[in-house]
Amino acid sequence: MTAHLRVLNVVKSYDGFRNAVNRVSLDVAKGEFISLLGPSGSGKTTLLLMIAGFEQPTEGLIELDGIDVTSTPPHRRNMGMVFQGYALFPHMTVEKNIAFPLKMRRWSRSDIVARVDTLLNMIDLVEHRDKHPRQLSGGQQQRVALARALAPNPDVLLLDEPLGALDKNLREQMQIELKRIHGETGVTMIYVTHDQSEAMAMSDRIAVFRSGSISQVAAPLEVYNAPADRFVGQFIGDSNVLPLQLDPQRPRIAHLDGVGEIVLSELSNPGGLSEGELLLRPERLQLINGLAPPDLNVMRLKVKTVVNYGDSILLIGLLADREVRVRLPGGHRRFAVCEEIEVGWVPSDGHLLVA
Amino acid sequence: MLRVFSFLIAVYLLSPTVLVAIMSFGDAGSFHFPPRSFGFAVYQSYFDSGPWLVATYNSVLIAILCSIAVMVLVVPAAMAQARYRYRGQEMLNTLLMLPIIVPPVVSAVAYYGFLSPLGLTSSILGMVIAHTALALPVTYLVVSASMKGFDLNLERAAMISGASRVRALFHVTFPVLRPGLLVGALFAFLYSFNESAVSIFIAGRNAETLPKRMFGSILTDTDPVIAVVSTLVTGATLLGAVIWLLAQSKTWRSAINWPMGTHAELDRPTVKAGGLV
Repeated sequence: MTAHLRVLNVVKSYDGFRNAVNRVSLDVAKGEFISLLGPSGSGKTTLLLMIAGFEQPTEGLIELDGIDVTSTPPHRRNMGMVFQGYALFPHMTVEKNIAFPLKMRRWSRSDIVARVDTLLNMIDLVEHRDKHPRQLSGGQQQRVALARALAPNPDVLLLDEPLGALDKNLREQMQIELKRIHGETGVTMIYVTHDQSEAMAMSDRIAVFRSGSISQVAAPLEVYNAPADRFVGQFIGDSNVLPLQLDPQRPRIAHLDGVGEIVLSELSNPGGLSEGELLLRPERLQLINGLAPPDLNVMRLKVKTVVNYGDSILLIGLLADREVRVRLPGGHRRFAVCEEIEVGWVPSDGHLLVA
Repeated sequence: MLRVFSFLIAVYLLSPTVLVAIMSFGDAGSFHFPPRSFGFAVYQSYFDSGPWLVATYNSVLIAILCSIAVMVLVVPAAMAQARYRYRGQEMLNTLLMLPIIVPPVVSAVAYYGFLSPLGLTSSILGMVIAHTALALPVTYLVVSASMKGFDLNLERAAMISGASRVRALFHVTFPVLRPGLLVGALFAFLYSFNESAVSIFIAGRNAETLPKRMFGSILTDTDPVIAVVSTLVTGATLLGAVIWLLAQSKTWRSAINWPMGTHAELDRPTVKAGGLV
């Protein structure tokens, strides 16, 4: 498969000795929805700006359909972009905002009118076409920005934290809307976000960024279940990370302080190592009443904190001196502080982190 | 109490102008206050007087050329200062403010010394050069203030939409910045129009402006035409101030996302240039 968009060994340095983006390579398939996820300052937006052509890589290549576009200016890349603050043109109406990229590409007047009508219908803002951006709500502005970016049928749509300014309910609506539009248009989307649940919910693949490099690129569930390292595991979802002593001779057995020997998931230990960490998702831990099933790993916790969310209960328990978070479904019995409980997990739910 | 105080300040500021305006409607052949009878005789003699009209024409022409020249210099300078960070930037900012700090008479002498070897004294060009330098700081302050609030993503949005850098400037950046740019140009115009010290030194016979002719007139004779000219100049300046206030309220409105504003007229030229619909 040749990639639609290829980022190859890209380095960006603003000051000559620290790299904002450090040797990043990424292949994006046509029609894919890929998220660039990471904390602020991890280089994800810088990479997006380089893909758009607003910043020049210090080293490396950016290819679109096999053609090197590294030094092609933004206006010749046939990409669309949705900006964090929407960046709608305040002096133009909704209609003119959407028509702008078509005008710049010298579409004929009748084609522009037809295309703008289609887009206004798609974003359901036909009756607002003559309004100015400041007369619209945040969600409406967001949709106009999306329509403007999609208008010229771009090869790639870049989105820079597009939902960051919206409140929670609107954000969820817009996530669904974005997915719908992705399905309808089939446009390749590159979505920058620091919100891991957003990335989980929307993406075909997630690229997790950490201080200028990509830690892992994989499908959301794979990133969640089998994070490449401790950083990814902790950045995505809630997690417990516990130190393990490994036995180089027996790859599926490990020693966990306060528990003893536990069984690891198959294939997880590359072998030959004596130390590692166990990543346990709080919601994969189950409460054990009475006798534990023989195939479960079991640990005994002393309850330290109980937080009842209604639909779920978060228990923070102590295993020796370490905190372990346990998320149980709501409607369980009450828990008392200092109570001793037993929780267990299926070996395949325990993910081994090495190095 | 505060209101009375502001009223007194207004009286203090305006009374000389009002006195002159009243005198301009007097019928006498010299200054008298209050005038013994009222009429438009002095206005008549202003509009009949060749030298006064030439001076008016010169003033307007120099002010227009000056505001154009100032904008050509200030817009790129303010843009560079707002967008880039480089060594010596702060020093450049201070340098740009220098013409304000130097006393007018000192710069007048300097311009005389600088322009006369070039043969540019007593010429429109010389006046434009001098006024451009002097009007630059105020305009720079206004224009760079409006650029600091400009969202660079607007320009990026234009470029990813298919606009080259230049087209992005003319379709998006300048229209969005227009209120600030207009005020900047207006300040340059008013500065040049009212400037007297440098004009007295270098305007000579060929580029005599209103302020210069007024000084000359008050030294040689007590022609009441000067009252007419003062009134007209004040009127024009007042008009400029009103335009400025209107533009201010517009930037203010767009800054706070005023719904249903008076922005319709702001957009019209862009529509003309763009030509959609």
